Amino acid sequence: MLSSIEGLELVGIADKAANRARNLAKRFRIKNTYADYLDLLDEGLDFAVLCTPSHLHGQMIVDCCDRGIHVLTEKPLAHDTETALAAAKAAKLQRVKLCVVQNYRYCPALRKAKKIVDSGRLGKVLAMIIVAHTPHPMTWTHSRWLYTAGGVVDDFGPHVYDIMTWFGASSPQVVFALGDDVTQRMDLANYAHVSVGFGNSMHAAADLSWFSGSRVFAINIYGTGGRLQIDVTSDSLEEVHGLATPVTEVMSSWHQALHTIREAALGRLLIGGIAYYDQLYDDFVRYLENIAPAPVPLLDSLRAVQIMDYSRRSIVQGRALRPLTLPEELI
Amino acid sequence: MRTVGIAKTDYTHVYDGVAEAVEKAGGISNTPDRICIKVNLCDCRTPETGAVTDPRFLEALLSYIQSSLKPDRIFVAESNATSARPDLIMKWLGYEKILHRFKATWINGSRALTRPVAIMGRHFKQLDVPEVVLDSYLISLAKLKTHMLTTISCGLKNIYGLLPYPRKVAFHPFLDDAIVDANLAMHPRFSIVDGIIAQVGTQGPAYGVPIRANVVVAGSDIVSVDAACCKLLGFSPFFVGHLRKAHCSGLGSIRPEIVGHALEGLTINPEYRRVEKIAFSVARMIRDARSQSRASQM
Repeated sequence: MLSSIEGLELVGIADKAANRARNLAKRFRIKNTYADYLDLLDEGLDFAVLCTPSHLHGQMIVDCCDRGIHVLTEKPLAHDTETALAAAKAAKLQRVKLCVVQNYRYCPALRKAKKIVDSGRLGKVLAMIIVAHTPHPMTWTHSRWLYTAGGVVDDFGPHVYDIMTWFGASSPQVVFALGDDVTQRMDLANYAHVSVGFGNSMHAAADLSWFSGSRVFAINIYGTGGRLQIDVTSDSLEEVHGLATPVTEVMSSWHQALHTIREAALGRLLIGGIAYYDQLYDDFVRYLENIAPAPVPLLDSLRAVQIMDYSRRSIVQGRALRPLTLPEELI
Repeated sequence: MRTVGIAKTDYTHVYDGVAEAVEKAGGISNTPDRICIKVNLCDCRTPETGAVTDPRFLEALLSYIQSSLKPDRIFVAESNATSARPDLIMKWLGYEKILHRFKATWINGSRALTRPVAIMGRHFKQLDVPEVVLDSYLISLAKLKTHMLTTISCGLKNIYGLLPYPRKVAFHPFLDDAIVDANLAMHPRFSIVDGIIAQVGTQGPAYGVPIRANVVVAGSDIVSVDAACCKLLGFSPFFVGHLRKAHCSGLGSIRPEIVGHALEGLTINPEYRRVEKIAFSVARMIRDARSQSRASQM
């Protein structure tokens, strides 16, 4: 995707596993490979993309900022609030542009939902209920860095927290989470229920699981003026005001059928979130060129890390927690 | 040879069910010294979904083998797959305790020593096979499942999972042939299928609908056992590609002789929507074609 952006030169790729770096470089015609990412950062880069395990993001961002290199990092911004704040401060100090990959913000159904919410058609948003039941990460990575105590809270959770902050547009005031290990042998949370109260009296709840028999990423948004039902997996949206009548349901099924046929014809079925990367990368480059705003505001990413961090702590402590207020200079 | 034993049971009486099915099928012959049991850990799913070998069933089979055959060594094997790491899954499902109790050794076929085996295959002329499999009496312990690509996933498909190559998804364009070739190379001697919780529907083998079918199917002809399973799931064995090809390749007979419960009363509703299967196949083809054209443009 990056190699297809006009005017962009891929300088090199760094990976501790030299073989993997060489294979990727060969596949994408990248000239240089590095075993140590610091050697790559010393090559005079304009920006770096971090696709590393989340507990490494914080330090890598600081290393980029120290060299004046702009950063696009995979989610989350960092593994915990303190590291995320340190990374954000480093970016601010060095005037570096720092952005987190939140590809689901480019899901057409979610963008449409955001427009509807912003237009006021839903009135005041009262609640968001998000269900994200995803397969075990073993299906997409052979790496084991996700098998930490946070488990599902750290895996798909950051996408969900970002959507909460995107629609919530306010600081999380209270976080309460329940989580457990379905197998009782993995020693991590492979299902979790996260509840967040925002400062603007909106509430959000997320149900996360690696072991559910349904593979679903669905969002319901309830406002004083109506509700939205979004199926992110199939990229569909339903807007309901008042009672959902049989006519509403028939129309909805009809629209869904047409949508499915169109997506199948365009070869976009079963692709998922990867389909939205192109647009995000384009927008990030435009952001660097000062012709577009940040695809994902840094403040939202900080709030998302807060929700993740405090969810993890809440599961361990078994009680609701109040996240610390973010420093004013970062807001 | 074509005899297939069928027993009705549940997990509370699973030992009795295993013993009944195996004995009706004529028993495990030749009292082998080394036995290798191929379990099914195709995805990181829990046993009540019907997607993976239930530890209670494995325990019952190990108990039966140890008490009736007394082999010198027992191995329990599975290989890595595109989306599964069985070394972890077996721990999470609680296999370790069971293996320890029966002094059985865990083998990951992808990490074990392999030996090339020459075959007159439908696609391959040679396949790498874990050595332990070649030196042992191989038993397939499969689940009774439907499969999006191969219609059913029982004994033959289970043995295919033991090929040591982790990215077996690369074989999907010729999957039926690859399944037959894997069985030609590994030559399973006995097949037992756990259908106590079966999995049906178009989204198998990992995300189908769990059904309590309460049935165990066993036999020394893996093709006959699969053919019986096929009928249990409501399909004709002749119209299941890898079964028909296995029959033609001489791996076994597609016409089982059932001993025990008649199939008619046991058939479960597979909830298999062929339209959905076709739609998935078409969508996959378009997606693959698009990603290939994108890759060639780079």
